[in-house]
Amino acid sequence: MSEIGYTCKYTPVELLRALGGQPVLLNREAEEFTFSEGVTHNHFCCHAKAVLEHCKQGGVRQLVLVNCCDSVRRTYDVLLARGELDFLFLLDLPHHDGPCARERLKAELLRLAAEYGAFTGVPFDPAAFRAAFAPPAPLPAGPYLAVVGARVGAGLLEQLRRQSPLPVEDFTCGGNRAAAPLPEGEDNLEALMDAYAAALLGQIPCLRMDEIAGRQALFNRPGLAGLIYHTVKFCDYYSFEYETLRHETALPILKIESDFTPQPAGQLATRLAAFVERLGLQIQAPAVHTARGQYVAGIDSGSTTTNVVVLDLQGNLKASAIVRTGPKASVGAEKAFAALAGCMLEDMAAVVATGYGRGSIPFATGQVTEITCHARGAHHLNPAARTIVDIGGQDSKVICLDGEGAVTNFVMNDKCAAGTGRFLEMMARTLELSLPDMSQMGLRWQQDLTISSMCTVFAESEVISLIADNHSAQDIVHGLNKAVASKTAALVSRAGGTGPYMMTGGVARNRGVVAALEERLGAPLWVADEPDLSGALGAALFALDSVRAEQ
Amino acid sequence: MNENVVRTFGQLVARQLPAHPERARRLLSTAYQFVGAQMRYVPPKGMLRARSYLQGVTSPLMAKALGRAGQCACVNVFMPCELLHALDITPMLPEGLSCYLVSTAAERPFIEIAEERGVPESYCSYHKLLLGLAESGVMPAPLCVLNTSLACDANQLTFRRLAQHYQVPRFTVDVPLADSPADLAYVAGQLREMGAFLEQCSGKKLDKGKLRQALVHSAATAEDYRQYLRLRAKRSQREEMSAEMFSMLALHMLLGTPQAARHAALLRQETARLPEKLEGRRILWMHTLPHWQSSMHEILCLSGRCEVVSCDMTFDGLSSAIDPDRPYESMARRLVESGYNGGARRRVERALEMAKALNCHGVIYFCHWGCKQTSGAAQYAKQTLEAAGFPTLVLDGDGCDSGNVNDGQMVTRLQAFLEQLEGQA
Repeated sequence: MSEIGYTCKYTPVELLRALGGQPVLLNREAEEFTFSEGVTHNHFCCHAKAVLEHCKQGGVRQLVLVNCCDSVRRTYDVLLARGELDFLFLLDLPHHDGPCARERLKAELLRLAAEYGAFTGVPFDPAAFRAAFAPPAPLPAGPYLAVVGARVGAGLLEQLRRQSPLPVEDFTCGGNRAAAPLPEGEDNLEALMDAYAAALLGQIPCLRMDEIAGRQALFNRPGLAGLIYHTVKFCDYYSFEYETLRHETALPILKIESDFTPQPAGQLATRLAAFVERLGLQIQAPAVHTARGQYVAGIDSGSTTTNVVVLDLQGNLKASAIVRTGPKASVGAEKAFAALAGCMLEDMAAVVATGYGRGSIPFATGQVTEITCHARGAHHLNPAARTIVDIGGQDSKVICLDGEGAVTNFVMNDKCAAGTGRFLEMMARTLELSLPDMSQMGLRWQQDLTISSMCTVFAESEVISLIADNHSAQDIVHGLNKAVASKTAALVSRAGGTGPYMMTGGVARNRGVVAALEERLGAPLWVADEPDLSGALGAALFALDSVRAEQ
Repeated sequence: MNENVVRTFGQLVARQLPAHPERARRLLSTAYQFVGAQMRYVPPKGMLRARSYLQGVTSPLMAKALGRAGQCACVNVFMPCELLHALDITPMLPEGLSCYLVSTAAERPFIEIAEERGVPESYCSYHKLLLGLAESGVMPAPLCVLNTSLACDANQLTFRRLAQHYQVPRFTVDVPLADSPADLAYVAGQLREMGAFLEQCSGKKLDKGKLRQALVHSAATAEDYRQYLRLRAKRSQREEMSAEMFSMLALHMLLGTPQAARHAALLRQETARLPEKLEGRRILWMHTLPHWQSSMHEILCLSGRCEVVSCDMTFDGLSSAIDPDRPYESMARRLVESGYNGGARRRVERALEMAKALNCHGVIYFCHWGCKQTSGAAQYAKQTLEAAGFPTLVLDGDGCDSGNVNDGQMVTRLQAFLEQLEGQA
């Protein structure tokens, strides 16, 4: 049998199998997009680019694509023009699912049967076709999570399965395939393709179909404990469903976006762990340090700074420090401890690590994600706060809390640096300003400039143009602050955040950004004296919990 | 209009938006009425009568779209509108309204509203803008929502969300990729159903005579436009960047009206009066034009170095035969035979034919932000057109959102391309 690649659940895999093909789902991530961007464009669906890379590397010689979306159609056009595959077919799937659409799909199936049959030389055998229908794999007996939304890369799915304490099912548009076996009846090709068209169109619809009410069935399945909603960069379909779903579903939901390259483990692990913590499935009490110390510590190992907070066993602040992380998280953590006045590692009864580098701190006795730690620390500092805006070096997040300080929802920025501390740092460098100067300057503006580019690189060129046009640094900084505020307000809105608001993270020290964001939100932002320490404080509180639980 | 006045107006609209969307709506609607009156009574000097006439027609329509609820049917670019014209229902085109909004520098807050409500940043800005208009409360509810699956995914997404937002009925015409008789019959059948759907939505009875008359207007418009293009092949004319965008409205949303027919007739007549003479580099444009961008306008329209002779969004349906006695089949044929249907090869072949027919020197393939069907075929188009002797610039930009644009880079690319074309003279 010869392998034939496919990407969509509407692909007639049973027919291909009956005609001698061995259908293989193409859902592998690509290391790079050099070839695919060369033949298409960099603003092109990342899944489609990964398929092109896969074809280029000779991973597939035969391919059946479905007219799923603009990107797949163009992928077909490009592959057709290159003429390098042995077999290439585009199945024109109707957008409707009524009788006329079924008739059209039947015609398409007959066309495919003729073309692929001629290619393989295998005659159509009704018995082989019927035998090609495999029953769908059963769902887990107990609770499970499901990835829904746009097709998910094999590597990402595996990573999710590895990190989740519950089984993870693939309900995305690539994985949720269930063509029902055909009813007994006439066994001629025409009649079989007619019934087959109905079976394919009878699946739970993907977002590309016109009528999508049937998708509710996906979210009502027994045992489904939470949704991991996946979108692909430059595929727009599923963001729309996510927006509706997050308002309507009672299931906990985590949004992730991938670009079909191997995922950096850090941010995904943080998001998934925080989600799992929110589900109440795996809030493990951090292991207690064997030493019988008098203090506990929380270390927030961030991309820019490492922050440490030490509490005594009554929960009073004993010491804190903020140092640059440097290239290695463990060294940063050691530096942070060394910077503490009068506190030694040996004095700690427990040390909980949080932040990006939390897995790399050898002396930590436990780990909790920064989402949960920021929420805990912020609630401790200001129990009235219901929405925490945290802008750090490379992340910005919005965390929503209930009255008890439990996380009810959170969102994070994507890979892009727009709206983060790094964005402001880069702009400060362009303007040749120090960060403290920049913080003050944004308050003394006169002309209301707008930096419309959200992309860091574009914004930098916009800033250079404004400098060339003799605009004052104050006005430009105010424009940048507004850009960050706009990006952050969008995150607040996506998270469904409501007041009272609190801001944490290093950027909360920037008074201009705080003022611009307050204006956008139409509400004051509460900022602690040491806004960067909130995550470390939360971690220290978790460490204290663990010690108290032992006692 | 003076750029500062436009910017001040845009800021005024933006300020009203959060608390008083109805005031923002009135401001925009009044501005569009004003533009319409200006075009009718004091058209700008040097502008062809065909152009000012058309703007005098479309501006009040945009104002109407922002008027009372339930007056217009929201449609996408490729939706045949003869049924609407026969039923006296005004079509409202998001791309059209988005173009008007960006002309009043009022687009940014609407885009932000859409993004805050989960519309992805990578989404087509025209559609994002429309969703912002709807969800900010500025655009009143349409009577119904109609869309084709042609030419892009955004139709399906935006129009579904609009119908949900307004809780109004929606109809989708599914356009298959092929153009066999069975495909044609499939689309014609859906258009018949759409007629019944519109009768039900509006409570009006479709008059077959009026539908036939609409198709007569469509046929006359297409014929005059084809003749205009033949004349234009030997003539130069300095035009605004928005000119082709307005013609696109005449050949889609307004097709089937006497106004579109008059526009095409005027265009033919005025072009016939121009001297037979070619000046500067002649450019065929593919996809929409960023008419808001003054740097592009400066080079393409004012520099005298080049002219945009035609845009492939105007002639995508011109080659299909129209038989007023078979209205549904005629409309269906325009869809399945469209240059934007049936894969990139057809679109590029049509552009190539037109580039030859219009004596063009080069092609600009505009990758509007978020348009995957355009960006995905960019390199294929470039290679194919260049192999046929037409230097092609793939120009990344945005038809309506300055936030996605690196203006300086676009200027450099465009100027370098012109230098390339001039070097070949």
